Amino acid sequence: MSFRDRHAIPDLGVGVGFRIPHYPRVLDSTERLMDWFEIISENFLVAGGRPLENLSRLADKYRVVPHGVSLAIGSVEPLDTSYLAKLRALVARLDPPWVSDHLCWARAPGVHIHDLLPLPYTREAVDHVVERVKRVQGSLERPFALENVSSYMTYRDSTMTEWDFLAEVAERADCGILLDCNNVYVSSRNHGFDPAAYVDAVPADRVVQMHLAGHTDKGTYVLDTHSDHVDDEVWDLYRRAVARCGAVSTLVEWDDDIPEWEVLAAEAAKARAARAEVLAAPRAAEVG
Amino acid sequence: MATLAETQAVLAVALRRSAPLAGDPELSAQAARIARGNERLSPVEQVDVYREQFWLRHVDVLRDDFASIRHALGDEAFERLARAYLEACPPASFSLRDLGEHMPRFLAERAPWSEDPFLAELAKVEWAFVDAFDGADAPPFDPASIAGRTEDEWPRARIVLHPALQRLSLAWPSHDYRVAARKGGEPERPERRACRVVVYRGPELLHYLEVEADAAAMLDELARGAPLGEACERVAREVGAANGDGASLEALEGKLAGWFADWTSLGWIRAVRFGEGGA
Repeated sequence: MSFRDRHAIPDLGVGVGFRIPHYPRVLDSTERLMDWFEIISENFLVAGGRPLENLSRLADKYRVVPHGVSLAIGSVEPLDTSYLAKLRALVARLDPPWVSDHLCWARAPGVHIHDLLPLPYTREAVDHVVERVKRVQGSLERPFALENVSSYMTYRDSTMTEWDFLAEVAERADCGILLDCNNVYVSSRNHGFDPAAYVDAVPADRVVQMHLAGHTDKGTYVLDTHSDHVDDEVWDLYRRAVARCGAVSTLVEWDDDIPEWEVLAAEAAKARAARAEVLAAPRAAEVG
Repeated sequence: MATLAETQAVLAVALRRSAPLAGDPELSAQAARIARGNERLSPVEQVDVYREQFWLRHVDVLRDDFASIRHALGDEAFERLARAYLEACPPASFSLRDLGEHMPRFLAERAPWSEDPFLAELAKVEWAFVDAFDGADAPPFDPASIAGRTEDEWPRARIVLHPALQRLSLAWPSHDYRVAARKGGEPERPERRACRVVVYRGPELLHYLEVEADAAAMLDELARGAPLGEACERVAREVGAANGDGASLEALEGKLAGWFADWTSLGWIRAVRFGEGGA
């Protein structure tokens, strides 16, 4: 039985991130504006006040899934138990079908770098992350999904491809995958690999969610900025991923230069249409 | 092959370097042994992508959290301050929300900023707003909870304030300066004037209110969990001594009903406990 079936992972449709400029529109509207919302977990790991009030109002109307940026699953520093306790409380409040964070490291002795730093793709890193994912998943008592990150550096010590690394971690830790199609594309441009090969190698049955976002070409590298429309080549990758993975919840991220709600909603509608088109095609899985 | 711990330790040092890595031959050599590089970016330049982001991200957060200090110093001087702060107090919490928590102390202690105590006070005010914004909640005050209480029960009552309420003792009206600076104005640095300010959450927004010295002293007493009778005696003593007029307990008690009504309507008072168990 697949990971998605074992954990009864639902297809939530297409959602967007819950971001401050859209709070009034989303919370005050009597219409149902979106299939679901993703929140950045850390923004709501606070004691009280407006953040939690807004979250309650959102959760009253929509399915909400927390997506973290600070777990630092690949750091050698011990897991932050205080962070995990707060995340567990957030999970209890929202009862989401899964929880996600990034396959990266971010903490070192005395400092939290607040970035999604790639790991060297080595046996040691696989073993390290697998153990920590098991602990996190057990602690949260909720399916946990790892997202592939955009990266701007590669390691001399890596002994496998990123997609093999991701697949092995997910299989051995028995966790889900949040496949970020833009991140695959950004990293493929930065490191010169075939993004289609990446998508084709991901264990399809473990993909519980996909991300779409825009990026910025900085000349010597491509930066994952979430500040623009989804690029055409990322749309192509997304279609390929849907053909391979099937009906998987999709999320459009837009975190910088945030547009009017209608622009974001149109991008989500575009994802919905692309997804529907691929899923309606006969033998979609043949693409993969 | 470096261990994962060795790799992360080297990169953590490299990313915290405020200038490009190329300026540090030893660190560059270490980074080059870790990163592979490609035809467009050398190994050191790859690491520098992350190093630049480290500084951009964290300076941006401080710029937002301490907007009035940026106004007071100007952009370039603020950037120097932010970088010095981050070097002295590197981000340690999982949340960027906590990044600036040491700024009031840093400004008070570290030259040259410590030579201008107005800056540390502005930081204290800015941080009070951060804490008021997402501090803990408490259920609203229930008027029924005090119904039927006799007069002789009140001296032993403990009044519970909203846990996110921030009480500030200031040497300048820095709160006014903060608001004007954040509204995009060009406020002049204010004249020195001691004042007491409460920062609190309203139904929609954060608010602040300047309060009289005796009211502020009473709030301090209530916040430390003093029973009402003891609080009144102490405040009367302290305020009377400060004013040199020996303000009477009676005069203070005359204000209590008004304060109680105001502070419950503002949401500052959340409960009254009549037991001996404390707040």
